[in-house]
Parts: sequence; structure tokens; C-alpha cells
Amino acid sequence: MLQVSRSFLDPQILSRLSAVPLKPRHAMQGNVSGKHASPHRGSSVEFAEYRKYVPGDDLRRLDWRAFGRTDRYYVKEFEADTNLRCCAVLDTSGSMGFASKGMLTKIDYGRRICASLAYLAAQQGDAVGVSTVAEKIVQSIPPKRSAAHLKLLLDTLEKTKPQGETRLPEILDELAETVRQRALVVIISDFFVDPAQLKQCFEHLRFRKHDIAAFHLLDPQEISFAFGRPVRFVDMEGNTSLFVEPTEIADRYQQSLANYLKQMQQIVLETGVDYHRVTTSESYEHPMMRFLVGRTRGRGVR
Amino acid sequence: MSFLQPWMLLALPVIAIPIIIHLVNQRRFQTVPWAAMRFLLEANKMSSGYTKLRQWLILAMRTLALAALVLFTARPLTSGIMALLGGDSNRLAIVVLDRSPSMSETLPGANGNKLQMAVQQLGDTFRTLGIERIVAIDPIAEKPEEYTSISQWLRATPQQTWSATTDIPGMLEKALLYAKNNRVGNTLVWLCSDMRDSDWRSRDGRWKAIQDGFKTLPQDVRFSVLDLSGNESNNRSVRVTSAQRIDSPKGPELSLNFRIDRSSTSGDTSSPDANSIPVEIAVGENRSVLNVELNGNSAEVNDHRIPLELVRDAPNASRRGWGSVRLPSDSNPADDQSYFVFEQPPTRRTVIVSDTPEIVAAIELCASIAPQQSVQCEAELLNPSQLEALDWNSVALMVWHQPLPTGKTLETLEKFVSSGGQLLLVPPEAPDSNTAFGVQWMGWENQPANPKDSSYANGSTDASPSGDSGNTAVDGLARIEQWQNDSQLLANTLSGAPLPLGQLGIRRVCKIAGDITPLATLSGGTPVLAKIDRTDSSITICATTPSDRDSTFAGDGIVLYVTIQRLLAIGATRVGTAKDVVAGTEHRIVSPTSTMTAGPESIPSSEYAMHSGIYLADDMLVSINRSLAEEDPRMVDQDALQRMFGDLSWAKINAGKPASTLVQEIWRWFVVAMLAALLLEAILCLPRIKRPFPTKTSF
Repeated sequence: MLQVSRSFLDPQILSRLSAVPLKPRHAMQGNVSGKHASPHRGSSVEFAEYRKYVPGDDLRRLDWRAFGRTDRYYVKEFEADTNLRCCAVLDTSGSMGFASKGMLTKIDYGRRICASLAYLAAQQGDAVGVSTVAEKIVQSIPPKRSAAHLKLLLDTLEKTKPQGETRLPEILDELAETVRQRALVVIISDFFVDPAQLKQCFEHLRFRKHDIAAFHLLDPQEISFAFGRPVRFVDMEGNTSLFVEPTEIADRYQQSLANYLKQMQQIVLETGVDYHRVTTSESYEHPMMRFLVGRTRGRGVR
Repeated sequence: MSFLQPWMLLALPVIAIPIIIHLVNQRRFQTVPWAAMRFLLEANKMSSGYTKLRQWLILAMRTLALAALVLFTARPLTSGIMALLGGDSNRLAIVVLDRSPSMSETLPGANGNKLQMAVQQLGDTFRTLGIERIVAIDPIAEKPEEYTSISQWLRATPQQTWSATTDIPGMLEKALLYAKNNRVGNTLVWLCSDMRDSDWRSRDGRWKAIQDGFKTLPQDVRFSVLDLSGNESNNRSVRVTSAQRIDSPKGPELSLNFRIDRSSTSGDTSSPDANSIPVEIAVGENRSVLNVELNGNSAEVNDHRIPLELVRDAPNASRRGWGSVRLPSDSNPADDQSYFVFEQPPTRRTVIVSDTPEIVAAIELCASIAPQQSVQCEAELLNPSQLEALDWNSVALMVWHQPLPTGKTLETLEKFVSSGGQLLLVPPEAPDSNTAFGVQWMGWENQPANPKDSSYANGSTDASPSGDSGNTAVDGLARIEQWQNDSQLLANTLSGAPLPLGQLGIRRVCKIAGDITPLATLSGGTPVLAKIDRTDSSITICATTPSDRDSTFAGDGIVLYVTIQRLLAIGATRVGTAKDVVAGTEHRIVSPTSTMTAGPESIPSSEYAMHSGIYLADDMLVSINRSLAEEDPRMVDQDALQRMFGDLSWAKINAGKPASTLVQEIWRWFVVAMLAALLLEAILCLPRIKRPFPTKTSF
């Protein structure tokens, strides 16, 4: 396997995560034969169905035994196995650069998840690509399955910097159209956008038969809003600033955040998104493990 | 509200500490780059009024707690109505004590009378306030007494009331003079009184000057009025209205008139026992008791005869004597006894100074005819050169029918008038330009008859009761149009009928220039009879003579006779050797060298003139009684006090209840306020109960 040495990759965590295979929740449509279920018939050993012969079918696939029993022509079909196309979308907007004291920035955290995911997919022979997005698609690397491609991905992730505003809904719409159908789309972001717009994006991706997974990254301080003295908050994605007395506004801030998270839960339930809310204070191994284990529970439906 | 340790109030600025901390906290904000800005903006929009109010409430509670702490350490004081002024122990306390007879009243349940109560409460207050510098205003002393300790003041302050009505404006003038001359610091003037208008003289013109005077003082002067009015108890008072020696066929007798009044707010006054009062009448050392039945709340005894021949141990009593009328003691002993003196009426001597006796013959005649059998009158005609040999002490009335006096003669007449003698100025035939007593004769002037006829033209004697004659001319004479029938000189007769001034005819008058108060005037305001404006009102001036050439005063002699006799009656008071005077008014007659014959015991001789009693001053027997104003029940109310003090800083404190104290320390309330503020602040600062926030969610 490819020897990697990156600051955002921990070999021990990777080795533990490797024990669990990365599986899609639906039949995927890959380029080559692989481990994952394909929506098409193929040449595996797993019987799929009998089908009436139609002129033009390969005569070698006629089931002569069935002809002998029924005096009719049937073609015997088998399930096809294909590889997985994993498309990771990493939010690199300015808000991803936030970190409370002693914590990783959200982009660092997302970088770890993204890199681990790429490594695991590449390790099991699946194609993996990465799109870094902010106001637009900053960099897009299409899914490929070569080892050299993984290096390119990791290099790209390493160079990623948080800057610019978030225009995640528009970009996800664009990706839904550009990424070929039936891919695993993993979105790593803080999702500080309008939940109603996100819902449309998720529905669009689902329409394109993509398997959608979302890692919602939140810093502990963004949840607790623990400040003592007056603070001038400066927007990381613009020049807006706001002077507030934290003790006065904390309860209403948390109420607003709770409303938002409640809406997010509702949306992901309605759109069938594999949603993982992650606090950056926990090790990225845990959400990754939850993500992988959650996918082993069912075989991909064809 | 005042403070025992007012310097602690210097710490009051500490109440700004929470505000300063708040402002500093606002200034030392930190700048934080923030990702979840959308929630912050939403929260900011949701900002409710209560949250802001809560912050201000917390700030206010912290400030209040500190303020209460500072005030508590300053040891706040208050009176019953939170209105006590002052309290700085460095203040000078000027005490103005009302020692009028009404202050002798003992309220039900009290240990002493109102005066004693006032002194005791003031002493307690001074002790509480820590005031050591006290100045007592004494109306009869030349200058106020200064004391350097409370005990010294208490020892020196008399506990006995006077019979004199207090002149509070006069005492305040003394206080003002003291404050001006002694450059005292901040001053608190204590006025302790039962709020009688007779003592306060709320309409007195001096109040304005007092206000202006205190306002100009550089130091802070405040006034505290200790109101001792309280509820009046069942009190009776007696007053001798007249005591005359009469020579009757049975021998010399004393005719006594006196009046008893009752001011009752409690008790049963309907029972016969309550209405029957045993009155002790003393003539010299001889006493008798007379039961007097009250008719309602008053009784009047007129012409109670006491034969003077029966008076023992008083060989002189048939000619001159003294006595008293006393009631059983009640809540106010100061008005339970009234003194009187009597004597054989002195001869009412009139001296007429004139070069033309025929003109003033009518006056001489009127002055020599006595109105009563018991009174002797005599008139003497002199020329100016004989005045030096005149015994002025025996003269009651001086009729001056000469050019206005000058030089030594004027001085002698001034002395005569100021000692109570009456002077009647009649215009001479040839008046000169001399000025005396503030007036000047301006020359004779014939008076034309009023063309309008009147009822007098037909011989009617109907005069207007109001003093308006309805006027006019008969036989070519001018008539007196108006006269003051409320004046002592031209008052209506005892039967109520007006004097027939309207019937008098005036042919000519001598014009008068100067400050006079007309008593009778012709049409057009020309005065015929007037009083010269002086404090003693002892000089009467007539603009015409009784001569037929000038007027019909002699022909219609009633007015002339009545006027002369009334002047004589007034002037006779200075002639006798027995005199009734009002307490506090005759310091010249009753001096410390006088001898007290009867009266309250253990009073200093310097205060003789202020206490009721019988005094022997030289050869004069004097009875001193409280003034008639003491019977005036009017009280000074809040509006009157406001009018009197004007813009000065003042407060009234009710001290009617004997057990009440003037000041109380109220620091406990401030401790409670501080604790309440801290508790409220703690409650407001309590964090809200937070529900656990869902941090992990996956599907």
C-alpha cells in the first residue's frame, strides 16, 4: 500500500478503521469490477434471475437445461459487482477556520476525516475524489482509484486553507449535476447556511441516486457560548462585527442554535442523509467509526 | 433626615463603584473571530426588554446596597415625620422657648407641663445629636445666653412659664442679631411653642424682615418648630375685668367684675357639680369663697360688692388695696388666678394752657364736671410761664391752646405724653410755623357750607351709626361728614348710640400738616379731630376751637364733654397709685427693685414684670396679669408657618405626645434595605437552568 506521512493522518487510527469496510448504503455504479453491488447484471457467481431469450443475446448464455425442461429459451443472469466512487466535499469557507482554545480548527478536523476516508476507500480499491468548496468549487479532483491519485488528494487537502464565504447550497447543486450518478457523496462542513436551502440540495443529490453522508462539525464553544466579559464578535466570513454582553445574549443564542439543529435533524431525516453531528473536542476516530459501522448493518440494495 | 456621623457621607461616592466597574467592563472587551455569526445576529434581534431591564436592575441593586451601607454607617436619624432638620453635632443650637401662660398646661398623662416637656425633649435631642453649643434667647435679657454643655443649659433653663405673651418674632430678631454679630457657623434654631397665634403674631410685619435677614446670612440656618399644641384638656381661666372702690352709703366697698371661661374637650360638663365653681376671692389677706355657676362654658360676675370696712389688718385698705380671684387648680394653673388693685379714684386734673380763656372756657367746663359721683375732676387754666411750677405727675390731661411748643417746653410735654398723659392740641388764634410732634398749623380757613341740604337742616337728630352724618349745611355751617366710631375717643355710647357729631357745625378750621390719623372729617376730607401718628397715641389734635366763632362744639356740648372725659379717663391711669398692667409690658414701672406683695414664689426679681402678681414699685401698687391676647384661641397652622418662614429652611415636628421622642436612629432600616438589595441582586444574577445540549447526533 501507499506509504503516507501526513500530519493529519494517524496510522494507528487508520489501522483500526481499516478493520471495518467502507460500504455504500445503495448499489453503486463504478467503473470496474469491485466489491460493491451494482445495479446491473454481470458475471459474478451470484445467480440473479432467468430472462427470456431475445434475438441478439449471446447464445453462450442460454441455459440449455432450462430449454430441455421447458422447451423455451431462457438466458441465465448473474449479479454484477462494481467498485465505489467516493466523492468527498470539504467546506473550506472562512467559518471552518474557527477553533476554541486547545481545539482543532474545524477545517483541520474535516481534513482528517476527509483524508482517512480517502485512504480507506483507496485501500479497498474504490475510486475517491475530493472537492474543496467555499464561495465556489476551489479545487475538484475527480474520483480515481490509483495510489498516485491518493497522494494528489492528500497534497490537496494539506494545502487547503479556510477563506471566503460559504455558498454550499449552490455548490452542492452543481456537484449533484457534475458527479456521475450513484456515487457516495460525503459532505464535511459546519453547515452554517439556511437549512431550507440545504434540504433542496440534499433532495437534488438524492434524485441523482447518490448516497449522501454528512459530517456536521461544531466547535464546543459554538455550542456552550461560554464567555465572561463583553466580546466584540467578528464574522469570519465577512466584515460584520457585533458587540455583545455574552451573559445577556447566551440564552437566546443557544435557543437559536437549538432551533437550527432541530431543523437540520428534520431535514436529514426527510432526505435520508447519513448525518453525523461532530464536536471537534472528540477524536475524529469516533465519528469515523460510527460512520463505517453504521454502513455495515445492511447490504447495499440493488 | 439627619446623621449623627455626617462625615461618613463623604464615602457616598463609593456608590459609583458598580457603575464604574460596569463601564470599565464595557471598555475592556475582547475581540473574537466568530463562525456562528448567524445565530448571534438572530439572538441579538430577539433581545427582550426584560433582559435589558434585568441588567439595569442588577446595577441599581448593587448601587443601592452600597448607598444603604454608607448611610447606615453615617447613623441616620429621623423624627416622627422624617422631617428633622440638621443633626450636625458642630451646629449651634439657638433655642427660642415660648414661656407664655398657655405653656403651663399639663397634657393628660404627661409628667410635666408643656414647657417642661419641651425642655426635656430638647435636652434628649441635643444629647442624641451631640450638640454642645446652645444659645438661649431671652426676651428680657440684653443679650442671649451661651452654654457650652447640655447640662449647663438644662440647669439654667427655667421650668416656669411667664404671664407675658411671648413675642416670637421679637425673639427671632434677637437670634438674627446674635447670628450676625457672632459669626456663628451652621445654626439650628429650635422654636418650642404651643403654636398660639398670640405668641407667633403671624400677621406681624417683622416676619418679612426676619426672613430677609436670615436669608442674607452666609451660614446655613435651619428652623425646627417643636409643636406642643396637643389636645386641650379641661381648663378654666379667670380674668378680673374691673375692680373699683366705691363710696356707698354703707361705707367704702369694692365692686368687682370678673369672668370665667372654660375650654373643655373632655369630661362631663353637663353635671351641676361640673358647672359650679368655688371661686376664692382675696382682698389683701382676707379670703372668701363664692360659688359661681357656669352658663355654658363661661360665667360673668358683675358688680360683686365687698365691704372694705370689714377688711382686717389693712388700715389702708379702705383707700387702696389689692386682691386676687382664684379658681381651683386645673390642667393649666397659669390662668387660674387674676390679680387686681384698687384705690380711691384720683382727681382727674386738667391743665389748660391758653392766653385767651374765653375761647377754651367750654373745655374747662367739660373737664371740671365729673361723670360719676365717686370721681373728682378739676380744671386749671394756666399761661405758659406758669408751667415750670406745675406738678406734672398730678395732671391727666393737658389742653394746649398756644402756638406749638418748642425747646424745653416741648421736651417737658414729650416726657408728659410718653409717661401716659394725654395732650389735646387746640389751634391758637395766630398759629406760627413751628413744628412739634411731627405736625404744623397751616393757618385758619373758613369752611363753606355744603350746598346740599340734609335732614339736619330740618332739625333731625338721626345720625348714621357707621359714623357718616349724611351731612351738611344749616345756617351756613359745614358739618362733620365722617368719624371713626370704632376709635376709643369717638366710640358709640354704652347704649350703642353714636355720638351726635353730625349735628356739630364748623365755621372755620386751622389746616394741619403732618402725619395724623383723622378721627372726624368734613366733606372733602378736611380733618376736624385727629390723632398724631405715634406709638403711644397720646396726642389728640383738634382743628378748630369750641368758640362760637369757630364751631358749635360748645353749643352742642355733648361731643366735647364726652371727648374730654374720655381723654381724662385715659390720662387718669398715670395719676393714681394703683395700676393694672399687662405682663411683660411695663418693665419701667415694675423693676427688679420692686417688692412682690403677692404672686408666684421663687422667681428672680429680674423677671418681676413678666409674672402675674401684686408688686409695690416705689409708692405704686401694681397688679400684673396675663394679656387679653392669651384668651385668643387661634392657632398657627401650616399655611401660616409657611407664610412666616417663606423660603427659609424649616420643619415642624409634632411633639404633643409626652412619650414621643424627637429623633430616632433608623440605621436598622438601612441594614434591611442593604440586605434586601443584595438578596434581590443575587436572585437576578442566578443563572437560568440549562437543559443538556445534544452534541452527538447520527443517523
